[in-house]
Amino acid sequence: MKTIAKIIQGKYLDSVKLMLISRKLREVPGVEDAVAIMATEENKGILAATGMLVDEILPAKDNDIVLVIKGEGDPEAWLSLAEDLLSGKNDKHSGTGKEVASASLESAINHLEHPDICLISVAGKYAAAEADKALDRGLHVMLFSDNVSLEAEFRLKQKAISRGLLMMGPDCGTAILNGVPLAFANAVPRGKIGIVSASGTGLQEVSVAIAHQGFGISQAFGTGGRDGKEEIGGIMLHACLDHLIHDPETEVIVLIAKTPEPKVLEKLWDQIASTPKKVIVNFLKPMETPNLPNIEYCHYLDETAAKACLALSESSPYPLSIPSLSSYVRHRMIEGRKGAVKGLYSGGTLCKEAALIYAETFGKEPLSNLVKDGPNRVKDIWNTDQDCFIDLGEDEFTVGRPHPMIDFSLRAKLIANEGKNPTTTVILLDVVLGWGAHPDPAAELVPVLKALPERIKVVCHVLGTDADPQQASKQKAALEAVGVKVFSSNHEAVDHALAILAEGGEES
Amino acid sequence: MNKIVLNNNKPGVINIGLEAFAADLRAQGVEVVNLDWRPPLEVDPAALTRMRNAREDRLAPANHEALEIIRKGKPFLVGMGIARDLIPGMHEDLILHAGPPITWERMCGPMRGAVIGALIYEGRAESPEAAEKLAASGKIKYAPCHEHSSVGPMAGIISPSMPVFVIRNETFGNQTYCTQNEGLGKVLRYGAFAPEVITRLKWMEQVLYPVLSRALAHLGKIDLQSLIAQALHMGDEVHNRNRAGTSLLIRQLAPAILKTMENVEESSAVLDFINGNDHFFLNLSMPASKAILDPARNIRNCSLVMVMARNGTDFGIQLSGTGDRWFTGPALVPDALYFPGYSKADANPDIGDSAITETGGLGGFAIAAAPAIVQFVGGNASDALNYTNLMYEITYGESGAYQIPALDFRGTPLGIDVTGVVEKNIAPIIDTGVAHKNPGVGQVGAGVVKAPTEPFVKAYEALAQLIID
Amino acid sequence: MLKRMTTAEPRLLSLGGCAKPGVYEDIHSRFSSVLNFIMGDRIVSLCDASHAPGPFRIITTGLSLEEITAVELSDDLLRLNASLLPVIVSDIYQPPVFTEPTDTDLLQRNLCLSSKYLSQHASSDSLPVLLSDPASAPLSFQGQLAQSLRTGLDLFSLGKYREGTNAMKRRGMGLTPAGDDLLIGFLIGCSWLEVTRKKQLSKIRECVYFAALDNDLMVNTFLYQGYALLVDEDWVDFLLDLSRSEIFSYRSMDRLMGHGASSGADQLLGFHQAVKLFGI
Repeated sequence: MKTIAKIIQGKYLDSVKLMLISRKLREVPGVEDAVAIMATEENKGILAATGMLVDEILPAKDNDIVLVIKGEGDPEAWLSLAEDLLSGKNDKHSGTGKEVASASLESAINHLEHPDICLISVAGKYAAAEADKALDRGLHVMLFSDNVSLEAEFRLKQKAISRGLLMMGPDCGTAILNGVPLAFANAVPRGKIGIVSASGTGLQEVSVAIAHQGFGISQAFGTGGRDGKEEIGGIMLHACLDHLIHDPETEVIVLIAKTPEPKVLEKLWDQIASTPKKVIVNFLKPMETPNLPNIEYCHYLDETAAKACLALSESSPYPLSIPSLSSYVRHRMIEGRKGAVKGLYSGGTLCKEAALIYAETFGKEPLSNLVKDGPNRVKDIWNTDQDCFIDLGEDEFTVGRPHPMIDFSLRAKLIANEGKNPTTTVILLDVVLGWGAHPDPAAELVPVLKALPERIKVVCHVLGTDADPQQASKQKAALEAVGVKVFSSNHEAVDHALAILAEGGEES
Repeated sequence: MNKIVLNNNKPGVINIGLEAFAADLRAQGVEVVNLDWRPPLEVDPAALTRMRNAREDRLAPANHEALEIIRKGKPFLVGMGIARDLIPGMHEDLILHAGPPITWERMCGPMRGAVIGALIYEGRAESPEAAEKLAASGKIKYAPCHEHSSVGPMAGIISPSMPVFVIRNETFGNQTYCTQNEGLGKVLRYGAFAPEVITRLKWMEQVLYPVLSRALAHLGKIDLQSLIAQALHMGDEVHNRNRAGTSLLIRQLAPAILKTMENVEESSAVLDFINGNDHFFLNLSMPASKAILDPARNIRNCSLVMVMARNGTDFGIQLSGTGDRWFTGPALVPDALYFPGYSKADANPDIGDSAITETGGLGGFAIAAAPAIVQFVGGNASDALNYTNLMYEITYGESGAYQIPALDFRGTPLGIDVTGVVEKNIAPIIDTGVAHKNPGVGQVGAGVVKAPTEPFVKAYEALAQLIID
Repeated sequence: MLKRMTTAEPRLLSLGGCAKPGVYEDIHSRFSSVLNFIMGDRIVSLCDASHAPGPFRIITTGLSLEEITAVELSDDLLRLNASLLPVIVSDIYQPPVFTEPTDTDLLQRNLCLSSKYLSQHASSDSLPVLLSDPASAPLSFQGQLAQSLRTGLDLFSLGKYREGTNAMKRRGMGLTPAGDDLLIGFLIGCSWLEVTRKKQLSKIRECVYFAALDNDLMVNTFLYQGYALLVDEDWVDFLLDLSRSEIFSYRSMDRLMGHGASSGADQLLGFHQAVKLFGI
């Protein structure tokens, strides 16, 4: 049994606060007694009678307030909690930084010891000007905003590169710099694999898969979705790739993008040829690559991560466990198959990957909103009897509404709607965790999932780590508790969902 | 190709936009500052480019020069006289008013009332109706006080027979003028023209002025910069709060009044008058501010603001680099704290030349020295500091003479730079009283209000045009 | 940033009749809604409108108490830093003179209802709950406290008021320790019974009061208020309710029990102890 005591002070420390602190401390497991009292002689007498009169209290004067805690456990931790309670650090994000706001870029820069990067998420029409100002001041830029013109993007990227600065975006939602996740990104360990990605969720999926296999990320740059277009000329793709090629902390490089346009592609192959470092390339669809000794190409995100880890462990002098690539179900034919699968996605790249896997499995495209028109364009997402994959992050769903990674109301409605559709047998979901995302997606989904009829099987890909604020394993457990089959890889989840479908609604 | 240069440390982040991103970073122990961002003003993009390019080579040296001139100024109260004798360009049919140029037709209620009162005081009309007819007839000319080296609070009416203070900037020799402050309530500057107003004006001409004039002659001169600096240490900001300034002034004047006394009753009445008027000093702090700013006018490429003034209809500014041009926009009805029984619906749009104090680094800009007044207008002491701190963002430099104890005696923000106002979308704040829109009612509120941005955008674009050369 | 207050200017709501003219600059303690000044050997509290008027309180509104550093009180003017507030006679607070209740059955009934309400609604950290539970863990702080207080109350019932007071004073949680609150309530009970029921309790009252005094000015002020029945408005409401209310409303008890962490409830317990001991 230990007793610890401290004379405490605080602004406006009144009886109510003292009582609340005592109560909160008594709730800590192991604490037997905790009181915040005036150190009068009489109170000291009571403390003596209960064996709580420790030396720290003896010099306290009559009108000092003293906090005494007795129990089994770590007294330092109790005191630390007491400090927090005294200073009112009890909000959601009890960070170490103090909140600073500035009225101008100049004074903001002056407030920082290391002003490095400007994260811009204001409306598109103002965003380019802000990025311009930031670059002028020598700051890297992460441009989360979209609705920025191609011309502005080109101009900004040129300016950036001429000053040795990053201009990630527009529409760049994910980056990890020097181990710090920026905007929508996951808490992954630092390590030797560097990523350049034109896709946010692609970056998230690969970085998390790498983390799950015990490896880490040196840097993860986002380039924005249009960098590979000829008008932009792949400025950031090239510059970031170049950086990773020369970065001593990076041993293996991952490159994810929609297929860049020919001139950009040429230059990328040249760059890759110039380095001995292994580069894992994923352009999100099957294609042929030049025969270079250090290139590995794959069009699945989990495979990308696996190959990167494999490349790293091969070059490591120590024997590491080799991550195995799971075997996937291929080419099941749809004979007498009952029911339909509905994919309701918040991550665009994950949705595209799902549609791709579907096409490879069944030999035809599913309905989706991934195409703008044509026979595979879904007409009415509330009324479809066929297999259909929806990217809820597309503009048509996000006008006037928060992104589905933050707000689950639309998805919940769609899930409930599928429950009423007698042809639906499988629902496929992604739950993207990490900084920036909803603090408890499982809590949002569980009620509507519980209400689904027996006939519908739900498969979910939870993208995240246990270091993320939501804690991936907690989310997984909550979803599994209502009968959801959870996978940590998009590929595995999709495969499983399609397998259920091919088996006619039975789980394989 | 140019290489990307990344430092090794945990990145320090400036967040512009979604606050959640900053909160997340803070929770991870990352150094982050949230930019209190507001959308930029709508400005001609060509003007923006021109001004940005001219910032270092053209604007900076000119602004530097102007700021030095302003800082060197030494305003003294050197004497008094009658407007018609002293104010340059004054003549029998001229009435000076606050704010940018305005015609009788466009004048607001309080200003019209003040003009009527002035005409009766001058003996040009027997009744308010006759005065109004005369005012509208075209015979009477109107001009801004500022265009005649003068300033006036609220309606700011100066007519030929009114006594004025003479303030001289001893460093450069230029002079400015202002009438004696009448007090609160039913007074000319709020548009009152009842017989008691005229009576008081006569008393000020026949008693107050001679007594003060003799006292001043005896003293020689009064160092206004010193008084203002001391007043700032005593809780004044010398626009909306002048109690300390008035006290310091009366301390200097009282012995001199006694020594030059001709008549006990009159001297006594004068001392009572000043004693009962907490804002007496305002009519000295205003011309003192103008006196230090005027020598910095007409400097080519200078983007500093020389005048902010309102006539109750328009809000007008002048820049050093654009000469005598006025840039105007509608004067706004202040979002202020209203006295019990009154509301914004009763208020007159912003009026008076008193914004010259802000232009000179005082008033709202020095409000960190006057936390009491912030309380009075609905804020708390830290609001006072925040207001002043925000103004440093838009001024070119700081005052040498006027310091704020609460900011470790830092000089007040001095030299409003129109580029700061426009490019950062931070409007100057003005600590002002609010007049009732009907003439003669008086003050109905007080508050710290933002200047409208339209005049600043116009001035900015105009200056940009001039800089191509 | 540009705020607008709906209550316009600073106003004085109530000036305690025991607050003497003078300058108060010595600050005893400061809280978010109260600023306590030292006035000789008493405390005068400058409070916002969330507090009830009282003989030692100055209640204002429209002021930010954080910035006040000094108070100057003259016969007709209250100066708080830069704010000048006129004082008029009707602002001055004096508790009323309590009179004998006309209906003692009503009084008895209300006292019972009040005692029951107290035991049902007092918070778990307060003395009414603590003392009613004989099994509170003896080795905890609260357990030992309970023992001391029970001892004190037993001594009271044996007529040993000085010893009883010494067994209870300066003990317990809170800036005014719970034992002191009990004694304050006990004194209020004694002085009220004396005035309204003509009980001969002056010697007992004096004995408890002088034994309870110690070196905390705030507690001493409260003890004095109890001893002299110069109570704050919320106690006045409660006492009047007891004597007069046909239907006892508990509203005045809720207001008292909302004080501090358990202060009000502890004082009410002391009050009821006095009533139990001396009867009406």
